[in-house]
Amino acid sequence: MNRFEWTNARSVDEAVAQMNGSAALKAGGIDLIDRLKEGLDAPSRLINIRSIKGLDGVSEDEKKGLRIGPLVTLASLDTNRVVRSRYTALADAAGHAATPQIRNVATIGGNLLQRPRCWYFRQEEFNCRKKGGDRCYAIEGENQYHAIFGNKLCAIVHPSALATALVAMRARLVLTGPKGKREVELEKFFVTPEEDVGRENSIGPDELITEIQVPALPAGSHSVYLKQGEKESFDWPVADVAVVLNCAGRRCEQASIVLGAAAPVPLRARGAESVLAGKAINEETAREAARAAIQGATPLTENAYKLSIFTALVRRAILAAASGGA
Amino acid sequence: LLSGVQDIGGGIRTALAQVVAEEFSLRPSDISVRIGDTSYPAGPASGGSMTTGSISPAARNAAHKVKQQFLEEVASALGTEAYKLRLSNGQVLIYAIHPDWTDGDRQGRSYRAAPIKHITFKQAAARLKTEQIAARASRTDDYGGFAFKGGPDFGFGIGIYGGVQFIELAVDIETGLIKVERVVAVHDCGRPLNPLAVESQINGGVLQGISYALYEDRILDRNTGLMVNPNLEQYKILGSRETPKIEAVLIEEYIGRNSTDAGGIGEPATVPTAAAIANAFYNATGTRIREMPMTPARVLAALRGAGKKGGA
Repeated sequence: MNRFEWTNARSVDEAVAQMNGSAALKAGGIDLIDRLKEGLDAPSRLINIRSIKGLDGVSEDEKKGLRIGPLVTLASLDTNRVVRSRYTALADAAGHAATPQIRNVATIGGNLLQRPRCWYFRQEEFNCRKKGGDRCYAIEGENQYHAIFGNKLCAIVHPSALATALVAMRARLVLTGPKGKREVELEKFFVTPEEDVGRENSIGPDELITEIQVPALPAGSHSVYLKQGEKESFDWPVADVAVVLNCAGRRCEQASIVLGAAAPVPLRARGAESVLAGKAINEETAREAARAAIQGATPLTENAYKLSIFTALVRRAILAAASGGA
Repeated sequence: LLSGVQDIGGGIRTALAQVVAEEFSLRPSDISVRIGDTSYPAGPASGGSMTTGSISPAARNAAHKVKQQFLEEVASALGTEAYKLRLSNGQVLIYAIHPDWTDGDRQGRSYRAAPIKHITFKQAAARLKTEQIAARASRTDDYGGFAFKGGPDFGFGIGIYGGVQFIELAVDIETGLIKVERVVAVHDCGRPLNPLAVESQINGGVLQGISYALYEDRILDRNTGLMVNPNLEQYKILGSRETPKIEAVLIEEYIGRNSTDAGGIGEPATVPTAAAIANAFYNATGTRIREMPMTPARVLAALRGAGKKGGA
């Protein structure tokens, strides 16, 4: 690990002012400290943003929806009464990530900005395309946990489980930088390898997330998040799915379906969404939507098994959402 | 008690205290056990499922020698003979005759001898002429020619052990996830010196067996040979949510394998688990799976009849 300087920011403006091009923001530090130890990053300065007051609140407005500060921990999202009762998929995504110890420290902002867990990306020995090299080692190597969509250039999967739920809920981010605030749809915030293989999102070098906004879900909507790892304790998803259904009786007005751990970005399953629109939700339509969700997948040598898992999870999540939640 | 043996969690320190305490009819907490130092008499490695079977007989033999000398000296101080003394619950009981003999009166009625006097172990020790009595004993590999000859690997007196495990599991045939729900582990380890510790070792063996059957995999990059999961995040081991209900059943087989008749349990408890899981999987699905770990990828491939393809 390299030497670095430590500063405590007392306000968002102070944090922005302390950014010097090679500084890193530190909240929970879960992913950041890993990256420092793994030799992936060597920032000259760590700016502690946990010292900023007012970024760790959750509030709800019936019209505007949910506003979440970037320093809210996964544990508090999991147990927040409003989030758990009305934004259940988000609570479940937070509550099933990592371990209780990590959830007590990890923040929603850090979760969205964490770098991929691809084992080639994480090991210094492999100078992969994401790190400026000339190839993706996963495509021709050990790719059982890698992408089944959008994997031609770089086969990472986006590591954020919260993003799976938040994209399904049409969340927006407020980013603050030297020129002030800007808002961006979370779905458009993420960047595919084709757009820029070196990064996973479009945050500016001197910006930070200052708010996560989740629009109020229409009455009659239910959200479900399902995660499948190889085990339940401390594992990343090999597949995760978030479904938001707005139903009138059994009839689906609108569906939002997102696949996580499927592609380098949280992936909207638009084909599956359109299968459900206007239809009654039952075993048959859920099955048809699940088939549509994996249409066009390009599995690699070792990860075709994910197709079965996604098919099962999408069907189960749709049926659970149609019957009022998991 | 002094021995070079080490305790890495198997509980040999406690077992040795129990063995010595039993010999003196004291409590294990009365015995001070010092281990893990090369200046003490040589002890076996803490491993190989042989620690208790190897060192507990030596401890018992040494304790027995010390006891004999202790009784001799106490008897002499009390003006009696050693064979008339018995150690019981921290007391030295003094009999008029050998405690196991029966005596008879003129009418031919017999009765069991009763102690005529008793003093505490501490009071008796205070009557010794020396400050300490020491004895050293060892358990040789051949038991003076009585070793069990089960084969080239069993030329020593530990004997062999049997164990059977039963697994109940659930298979999600759509996601390929196996969940072990219940394990019944029936094991023989000779005399269980500390049954609670033996059960704990069985729990540990079963958990490790489940872990390598379902999760653990050293994944090497096929092109460079480098291990891609050299950390406890990506090298997966069983965690608390994968821990099933485990019932340990001890079969106590006494065959005189040594002076304590103790054996070992460390490895025997982990041997059957993976095979039992594979058999339970076959029983549940009608499909054989012959590769470990039995990951969702391999389970789904096996269920689809696609053979080995699909896993690492």
